[in-house]
Amino acid sequence: MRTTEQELLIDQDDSDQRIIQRVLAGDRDEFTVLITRYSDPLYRHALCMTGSPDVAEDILQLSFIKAYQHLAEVRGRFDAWVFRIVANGCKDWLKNIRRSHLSYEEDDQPSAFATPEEELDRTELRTDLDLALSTLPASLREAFVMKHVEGRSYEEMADLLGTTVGALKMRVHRAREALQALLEEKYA
Amino acid sequence: MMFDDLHSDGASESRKRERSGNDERPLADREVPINPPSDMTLAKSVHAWLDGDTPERDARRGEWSRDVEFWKRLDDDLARRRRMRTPAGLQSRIMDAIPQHAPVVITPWWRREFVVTPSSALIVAGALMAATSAATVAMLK
Repeated sequence: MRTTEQELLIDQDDSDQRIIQRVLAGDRDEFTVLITRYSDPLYRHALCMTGSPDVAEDILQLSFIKAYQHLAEVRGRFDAWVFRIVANGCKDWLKNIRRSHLSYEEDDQPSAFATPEEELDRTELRTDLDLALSTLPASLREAFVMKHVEGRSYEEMADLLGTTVGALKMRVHRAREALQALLEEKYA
Repeated sequence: MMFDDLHSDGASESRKRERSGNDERPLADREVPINPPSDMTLAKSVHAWLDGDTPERDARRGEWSRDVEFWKRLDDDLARRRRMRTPAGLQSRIMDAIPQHAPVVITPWWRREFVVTPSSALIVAGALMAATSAATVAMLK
């Protein structure tokens, strides 16, 4: 399955815009190419922001449905546009979970990382890092994840988030300091 | 080089004090409270290394070697996160969930194409004449 999807993906001549035009013209299945092309980085973003694979999958699914329904409104880069939909979905989820006073650790953290589908082992460091990340304000967590998990440059982050490189550097630096303060005693 | 710290509490506190003294942070840096209090600062050289701006050896100078080790350890976990893939089946579930019809293209009325037929032109002209004569009558009264 994965191989077939990747074969679809590797048609580099097909720009996103041309695929979008074909989907708008009625070729619904062409949307699979866009999903295959961008789902991995978007899933990583949602997973690191929410800490829950189930929630990340839900956010990704809803975001792609929304993207499909509003595909005619894409102006500019599709990947940046769909990233913003996913990023807003994550922030909305974080807002709601705080508003409803649910405990992040108790409610969504535990079981999911241990599922067989997950490629990572659930190590102690991983759990501690997840907990430490969950204590960060959403904007700091988002900046840290984009820099250190997604490996984006500050310029790319600024472009996607509509803010300045300086502000993002500040957020990443503060996130690092907060994480180090939380984890240093145990791991340094 | 790393050493076991047999007096972790005291040493850690003095290290934190040293750091906060070495690098006074502007007030704007502290506007978001983070728990625990952010009295500890990473060296600029460590940030620069983590940002990919300087080599590791620059960040290891002085007491910051320990921080470099800490971040290298953390990066092992972050690297595994970077390799994560979308769970199998999610892409097909998304395709199953999206509508069966093509996305609706909604064009705003001001961007729509207007087609003028003889009958519609006559109707518009008649309406304009009626409105003009009504306005003229109203003005003469």
